[in-house]
Amino acid sequence: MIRILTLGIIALTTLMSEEISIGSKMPGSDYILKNINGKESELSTYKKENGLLVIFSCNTCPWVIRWQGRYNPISELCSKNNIGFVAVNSNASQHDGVDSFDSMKEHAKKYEYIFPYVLDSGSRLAKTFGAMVTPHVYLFDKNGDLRYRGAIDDGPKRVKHNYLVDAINSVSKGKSVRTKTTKSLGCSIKY
Amino acid sequence: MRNIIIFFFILVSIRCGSDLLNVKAVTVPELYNNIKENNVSSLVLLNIWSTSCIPCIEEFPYIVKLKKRYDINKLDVVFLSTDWDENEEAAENFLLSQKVKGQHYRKLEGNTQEFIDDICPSWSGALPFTGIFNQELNLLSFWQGKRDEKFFISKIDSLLGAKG
Repeated sequence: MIRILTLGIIALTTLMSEEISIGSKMPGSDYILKNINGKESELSTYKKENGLLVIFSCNTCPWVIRWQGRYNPISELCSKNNIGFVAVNSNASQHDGVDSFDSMKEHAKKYEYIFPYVLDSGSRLAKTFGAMVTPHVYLFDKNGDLRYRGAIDDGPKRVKHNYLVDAINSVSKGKSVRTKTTKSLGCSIKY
Repeated sequence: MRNIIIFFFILVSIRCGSDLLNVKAVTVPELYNNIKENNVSSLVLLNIWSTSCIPCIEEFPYIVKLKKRYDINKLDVVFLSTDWDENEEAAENFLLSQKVKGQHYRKLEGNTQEFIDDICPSWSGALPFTGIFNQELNLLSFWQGKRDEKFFISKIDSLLGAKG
């Protein structure tokens, strides 16, 4: 009986844990994503010489709002280190509502985004990454290999570990990332 | 006569105690110890939610109803809020508005990574999260994200059926 239950748990876990692993090549690099500036481009176009940071985000999630203030400084840090930065809205079931293209434009204006914010139609990119939560980041290096996956930091108020900033600094210098994966609470991506 | 009055008073106190809401901030080991100490049910359904999470709020009323649907010997329903300290009152007020009684919990602020992995290493951190445990608090089934009432009932019935 216990064995059957264990197998059930493993089967469920397998179905749910298809998130890309550290060292994987960036998937979906040819997916076309529509930026709030109206331009449609492949994901790979956002990559710069030292890599690409992909952050799954949205307009309304309280955890996104709580971490929102970190986005622009991280984007600037990426830019300084020649790493691309793109925020992706994959809440497909809400793309006709609170996460519509127009709402994304308003949201980006309100929070003075200085980076591309793109719509992932049908949650195709999120599904390919195995992304399930917002906010959640994936940092790829110059070769397009995943080097860090997870939370921005361990905030929200008292930050002890700046996981993402540390990872960006390591990747830009070609060094090994100390903490490669982390988790945080957040909103489920609405496929 | 005096003894009868004292006995009646104790009885009323116990009854009122179980009707009161109590929310305790805990780590995962503390949560499990607390549940184990008081559990009389074959299955324990743990729902992890937050006042900031709209899908959590949407599915909440029918999880509350599960407590009435199943005998306490079969199923207990435990709520664990992940609200930050500043929203402690809002979380308790929401539980009261949903007429939730008894002992429930709130995540002790900090150590989120450890919290998620201690609950279930396969959980991404997305809310709501629901886990169904056996009496020894082994996780039998879990899911993340909102589900409908039928899904909950079907999962519980199938696990109760499997237990015979």
